[in-house]
Amino acid sequence: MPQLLRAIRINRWDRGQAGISTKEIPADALTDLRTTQNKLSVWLLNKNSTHINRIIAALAGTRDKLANFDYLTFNQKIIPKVDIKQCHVNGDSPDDELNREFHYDLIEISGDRLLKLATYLYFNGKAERLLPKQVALLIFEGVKNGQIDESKIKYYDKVLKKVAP
Amino acid sequence: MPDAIDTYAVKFDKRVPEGLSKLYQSERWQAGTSYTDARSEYLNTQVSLIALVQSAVIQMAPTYPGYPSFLIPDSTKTIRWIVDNEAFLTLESSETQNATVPMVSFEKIELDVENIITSVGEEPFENGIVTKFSESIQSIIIEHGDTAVRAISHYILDGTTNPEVAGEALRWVGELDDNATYHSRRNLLEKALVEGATPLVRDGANIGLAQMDDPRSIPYFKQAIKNEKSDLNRKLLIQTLEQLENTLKCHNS
Repeated sequence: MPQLLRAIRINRWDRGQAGISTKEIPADALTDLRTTQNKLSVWLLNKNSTHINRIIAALAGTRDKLANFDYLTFNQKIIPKVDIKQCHVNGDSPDDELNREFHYDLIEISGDRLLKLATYLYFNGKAERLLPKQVALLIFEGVKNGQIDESKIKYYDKVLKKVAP
Repeated sequence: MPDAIDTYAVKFDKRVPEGLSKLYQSERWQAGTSYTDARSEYLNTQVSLIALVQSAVIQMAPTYPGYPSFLIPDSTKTIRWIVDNEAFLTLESSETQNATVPMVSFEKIELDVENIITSVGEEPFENGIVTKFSESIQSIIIEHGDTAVRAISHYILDGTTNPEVAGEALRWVGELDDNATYHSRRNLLEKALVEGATPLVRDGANIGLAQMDDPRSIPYFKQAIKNEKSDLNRKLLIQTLEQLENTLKCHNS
C-alpha cells in the first residue's frame, strides 16, 4: 500500500516527553496537523517511495529560508479506517508535475477523526529529518533536472553556497 | 568597506599611536593579535584597520576580567565611539574599569533580547518559516554583534526561557550569515548543545550547528551524544555528527 507524507516538526513527535505516558500522544503533535476548512494536505509517495526526495525538495522550496525538513510517512490505508476521506487536488509547490499528480487533501475531518488519525500516526508513522545541507542538495538537483522552478525558491543563493561552498 | 568607515580608519590610525598603541602593547593587554601586528597587516594588505583592531580586541577582551563594558568589541559603532570620545586616552589611564557607559550598554541589549523572547506570539514555529521573532533575533545580532550573542546566551542557558522559544532562537543564530559574530555564535551553539536544559534547546543547537557545518564542532557532538537521554535527540545528533565528519573528509581531501 502506498505511503503518504506530511511535513512536521520532529520534536513534537518525540516519545517520552515530560509528563506524557508512553500510551498517550503529546498535544504538541497536533500542532503539525492543523487543518484549514477541516482539510489536511498530504503527499502521495509512489511505489517504493522512489520520488520522496523530489517531494521533499518541492515542499522545502516553499519556505522562506533553507532549513531542516522533518516529515512523517504513514500507510495510506489508515485514512478510510479513521473515517477520513481523501481527495486528489493540485498541490502548491514549485514542482508543477508533483502538484498535479501526487497531492491529496484529507477532507471533512472532525476533531474526533483528527485525534484518531494523530494517534495512528504517532504510534505507527515514521518520523525522519533531512538536514539543511541535504535539503539544499535535493533542491539543487530538482532545479538541475528541470523539476523545480528556480525563480520560486527564495533562498536559491544559499542552496548554491551549501552545495558548492 | 564604505567610505565613511575608511574615514574613521584614517582618523583612528592617526590618533592611535598616541594612545592605543601603548595600551595594546602594554603587558596587561597583550594577548593574541597586537596592535602592531594589526597595523602591519593593514599596511601590507590594505585591509581596514577598524576590522583588524576589532579582531585584536575580540581576542584580548575575554582574557582581561576587568575590561570596560564599552570595549566589548561587537561592531564598528564601538570603534567609532572610541574615536569620537577619544576613549583611548581614558583606556590608557588607570581608570579603565570606571569608564563611562557606551552608546548602547550590555544591559540595554540584554533588555532588548528579553523583550524579543517574551513577546513571542501564539503562532507555532515552523522549519524555515521567517517570523517576527526570527527576524528580531538575527537583527539584534547584526546590529550589536557579539554583545547581542552574549545577551542571548544568558537567556538560552539559564534554563528559564520557554524551551521551544530558546530552541527556535538557536536555529536562527546558526542560520545567520554574519562573519563578524561567527565564533561567538558557534560557541553559544556548542555550549547549548552540551549544556542545554531540555531536548528542545539541545535540538535547536543541533540544527544551528548543522547550518554552520563546521567540523570544529565535532567534539561537542560526541560529548552531547554521550550525555543525551532522549532517544530521538540522540539519533538526530548522530545524523548531524555524520554530516560534520563528511565535511571534514571533504576539507581534508
